[in-house]
Amino acid sequence: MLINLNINNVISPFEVRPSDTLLHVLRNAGYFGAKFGGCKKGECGACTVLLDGKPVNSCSMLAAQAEGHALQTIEGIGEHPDQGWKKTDGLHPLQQAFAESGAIQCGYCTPAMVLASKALIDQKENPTEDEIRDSLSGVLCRCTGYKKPVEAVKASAALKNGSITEPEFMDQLKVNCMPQMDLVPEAREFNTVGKPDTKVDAIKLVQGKSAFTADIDLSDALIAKVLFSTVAHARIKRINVEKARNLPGVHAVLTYKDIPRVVFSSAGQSDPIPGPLDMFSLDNKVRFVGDRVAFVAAETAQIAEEALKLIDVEYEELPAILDSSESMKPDAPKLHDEPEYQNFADSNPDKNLAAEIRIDIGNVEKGFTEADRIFEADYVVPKVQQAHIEPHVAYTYWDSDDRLVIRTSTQVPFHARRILAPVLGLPIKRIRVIKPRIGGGFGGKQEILIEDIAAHLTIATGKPVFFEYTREEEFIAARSRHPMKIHMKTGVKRDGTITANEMRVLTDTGAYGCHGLTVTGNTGQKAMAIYVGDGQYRKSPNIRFYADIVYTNTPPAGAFRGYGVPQGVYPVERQMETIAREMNLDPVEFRLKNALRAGELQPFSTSWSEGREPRPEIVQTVGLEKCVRLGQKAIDWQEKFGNIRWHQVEGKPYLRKGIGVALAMQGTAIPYLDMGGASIKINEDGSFNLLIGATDLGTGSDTVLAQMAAEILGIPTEDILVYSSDTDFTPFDKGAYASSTTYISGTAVTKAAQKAAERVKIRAASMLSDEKRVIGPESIVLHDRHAWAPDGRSISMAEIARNSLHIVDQEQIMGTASYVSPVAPPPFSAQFAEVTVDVETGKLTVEKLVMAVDSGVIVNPLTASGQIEGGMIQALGYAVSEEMVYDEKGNAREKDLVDYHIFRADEMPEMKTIFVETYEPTHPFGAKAVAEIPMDGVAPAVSNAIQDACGAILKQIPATPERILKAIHQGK
Amino acid sequence: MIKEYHRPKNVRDALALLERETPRTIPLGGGTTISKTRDDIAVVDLQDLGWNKVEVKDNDYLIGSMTTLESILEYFGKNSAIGKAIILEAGKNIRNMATIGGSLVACNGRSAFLTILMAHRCELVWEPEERSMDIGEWVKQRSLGWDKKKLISKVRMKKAESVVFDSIGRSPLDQPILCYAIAKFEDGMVRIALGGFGDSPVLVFAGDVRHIDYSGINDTLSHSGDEWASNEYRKEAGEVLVRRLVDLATNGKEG
Repeated sequence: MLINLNINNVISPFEVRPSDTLLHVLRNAGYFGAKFGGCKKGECGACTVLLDGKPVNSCSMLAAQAEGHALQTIEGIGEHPDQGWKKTDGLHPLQQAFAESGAIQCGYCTPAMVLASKALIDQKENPTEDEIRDSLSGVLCRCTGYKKPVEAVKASAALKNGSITEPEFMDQLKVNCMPQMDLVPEAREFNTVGKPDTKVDAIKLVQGKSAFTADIDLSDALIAKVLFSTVAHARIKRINVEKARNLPGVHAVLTYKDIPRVVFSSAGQSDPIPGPLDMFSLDNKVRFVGDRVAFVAAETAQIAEEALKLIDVEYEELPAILDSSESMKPDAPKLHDEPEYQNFADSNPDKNLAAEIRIDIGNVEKGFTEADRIFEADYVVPKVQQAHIEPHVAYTYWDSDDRLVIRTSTQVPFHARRILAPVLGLPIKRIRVIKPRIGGGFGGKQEILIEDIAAHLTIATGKPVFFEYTREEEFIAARSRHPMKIHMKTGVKRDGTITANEMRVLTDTGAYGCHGLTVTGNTGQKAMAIYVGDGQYRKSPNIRFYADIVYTNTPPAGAFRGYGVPQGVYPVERQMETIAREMNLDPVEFRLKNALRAGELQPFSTSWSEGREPRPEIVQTVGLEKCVRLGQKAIDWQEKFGNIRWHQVEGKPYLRKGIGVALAMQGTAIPYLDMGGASIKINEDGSFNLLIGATDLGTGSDTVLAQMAAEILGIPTEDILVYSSDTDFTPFDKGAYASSTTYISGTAVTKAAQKAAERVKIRAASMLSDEKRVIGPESIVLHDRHAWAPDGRSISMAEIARNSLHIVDQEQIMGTASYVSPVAPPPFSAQFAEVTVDVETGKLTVEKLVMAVDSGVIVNPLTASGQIEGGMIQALGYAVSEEMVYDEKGNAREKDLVDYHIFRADEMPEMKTIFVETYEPTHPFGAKAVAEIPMDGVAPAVSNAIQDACGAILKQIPATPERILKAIHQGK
Repeated sequence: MIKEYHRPKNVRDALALLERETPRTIPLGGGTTISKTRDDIAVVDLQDLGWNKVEVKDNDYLIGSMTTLESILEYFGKNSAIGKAIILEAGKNIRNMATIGGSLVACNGRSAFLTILMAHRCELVWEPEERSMDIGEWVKQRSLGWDKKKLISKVRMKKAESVVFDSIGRSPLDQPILCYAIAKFEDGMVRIALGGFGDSPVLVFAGDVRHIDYSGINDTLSHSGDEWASNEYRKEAGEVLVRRLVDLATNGKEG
């Protein structure tokens, strides 16, 4: 049918099918600012457009419904202010505000948030914060925690109504979005590092430009779909695809019979993969509801879906294991009986054991005998989803050199290339992986999850193939956080000294062992290492960490921000709280008394490392106590803790307020294993291209790396043009995981920039020298886009570039470097939470979260605080609302972002971020990691606050109203 | 898959389309549910019928079936009980699209909005012939299948003296695992609706406030256990919640 759509005040005809959604039509027409979130109920809002000035979801309405209405897309509200000779009105103030305030992280939902808030400020001259939050309530953001977007809208509204001027607008944005900073003296010396620079890709993202994997013309692409298993455990007895293959428009249907049987692991980790090889692209056995059965490529999504219905599968159902406690029983069904299975370390498929860890530090039994009290308890932490708003998405094609190009939203492009090569039967050199912008990953895209599907279909058909998950597929077929059952045993002396601490873990890795060993290793290595004990125990702590990582017939777990540490911090911090309260010790001082201090050995460093032999590591910087003190002040701990009156709510005797704390320690990169590379070269105007294999999944790492390069080269960040990442053009990098980019890739960038700077200085010295004055390169200083001689003369970077490229002894000034670290300096945090509990119903309201963090020197306080705010809210979901549950047949309860509730903008607690800087001597600018640590402390701090409010002792999260009420009763 | 799209200008044309045997033809409200169907159907978009206003007539609110949830929220205000329920229902974007008519068809027992409609004295007005049906009757018929050749043109909602609503979820705006809405009318009658589970909310009491049968209400929760909460929990928390809300509705404050 032919319809006319008025898009951004231009009326154009469109030939559409009655079933076409508005989103489909817009994206086919190149309006890529409206994004696909995969949802069936329109719950994510990434596809927002304005319909007659109101935000609506273009995925949830038919294109035909929009006829006769005025549509506005992000493409219609502003554009880059500088387009050469062409004059433009520039960005809309909202776009400017989002860019300048740090409100953009991955940027996938940014156009939607800008449009939704535009609708508000077009209507309301002076909106309240509640109204702003309400306006954003239809757009789910998994990155920001909404704090900075709200500030961006506030400032834009104020500018629009004239209550502030343009300069005040910029000031307000930076001031209101900045965290509280406790600086180290060294950081004050930097010009670019430590500054709240605008993200290097902010202008692109805020305009909704074609930045992401799916933002391309797909008119020549086949659409891939997967037939997923409907049973939890079965052998495929018979599979008939003839009808599907014969359906017009279908180009390929693949089953396990059609492709090579190559065993691999989908975990995107360095070589060799530290885990068993236990999966195939397609197998004759399915191991969970959602496992792959067949791949289809067709001319449209509808045809592909029709084809799936025509595939006839006969399963021989096998008994399934849905409870990890059953996995290692002698009569348990065996998930992995395939002969190709490759063990790693202690994995044993006969016992459904994907991995095993046994670590004893010191003499644990002796430590228990030296204790006055022994505390034991069991804890349960759930399976949860990364829920990045951009689903997994890949596009594959043969290029003109017959090389397979894989354009994919991956955190690990180089690992993807290496892992896929044998699976596809291609040498590495014939695969090129291009990583466009990533719309959120949180570890979920540290998995080679769907690239092989599209690639097999491209090989089968010779045609480009596009594949993206729906939201339901994300829930049933993608990876998640490993759920764990944990037993804690702690020995304590009367004075509060911990004499021994033991954790025994049963990890459910689901049907495949991806990341199971290393995730669980982190659970002990980071969560247990923070408490070493006091006195003699500091030098020789007694810690035991035993773990079994077992298979079940549930969707596999994998990497998720925090990578095992949140699972460990919850039981450890609940255990500490219980001990402190039972022994009448101050919970804060008890923790600090036993916590690791600067100059002490990371106790696990002699017994555990991911993929390499352990080596002793002294922790050099620990800002934990200061984090605690500043956090206590910010949440008014002294006034509230132990104050009976404060715990009561006037007029509502059934409400109780509570306050809680949790300490945490993460890691920074993986020592001796993961490497980052960088390359930098000068351009004729004195700008530089920075080529990195590191992948910015929304964290702002491209910006932070640019800032470090800019600091070395004495130029502003805007003069660094970042390109990341393409296996053909950028140096190798392990990718974005393990909180390593600022530290590992950052050091590589710094070293590369130093090499380039050295060449700049040599040339500048030569240019500034003459017969009378010989200037040595070592005396040249770079700043303000100039190279400065000691006598005050200078020469611009542009002149140096021109000289080097065109005038004298021509050379390309450039530097290339790589870095692998011998250490993994841990960041620390003190997390505080304030809650209100309805003691008659168990209803919980989290009122406030304060997090004080030692992440070393903060390279960009805006992007770093964005990490903390967004991380805290993800962690709040882990604490109270997020959980993946399966029925007795292994079917998922959660298949969308309605049942799987992530926080909306209009239900957020108050949040505060404090950075307590330390100067980490192993990093060129003193930095440590920031991205993962906010995941760790919120859940235990909330549970501790619930205990403070009403005495309920929770040992399982999420803290649902029913669990809270039950715990209240048990407390009585 | 949607095979045909129609946007009639009047009710007669809409009904004529719906009366066809083939293709199966169904009315289209905001589209939030139907736009993603894979069934072979034709849709009749009702947006041009003018059924998108809230009006007051005598002691009734007349809410056109194509009125969006956001328009209803704006009309009653976000601090009203109905406003609170609508905010729980969905974020702004979906509220701008979803209509009261569509919600009546698609909502399940966890819908705060349907719960509050149940608490009101609501009637659905159908075309042709402007026949009325009590909302409770509609909810019963809905699960059995209804005559899809008829259209809900509006919802007639009796003005209440006071309406209160409260819910329990995992976060402030999570779907309720338990919610109550209570409407008290000038004649002293009270209607109590219970939601948070099942296929649709339930009217658990309608009568004189002095004769509220709390144990009877609570018995309704005896078989409410599902994957989101147990019977026991819902009964215990439900008893607390309903007593508090009755006090609030009748005395203006919690007991």
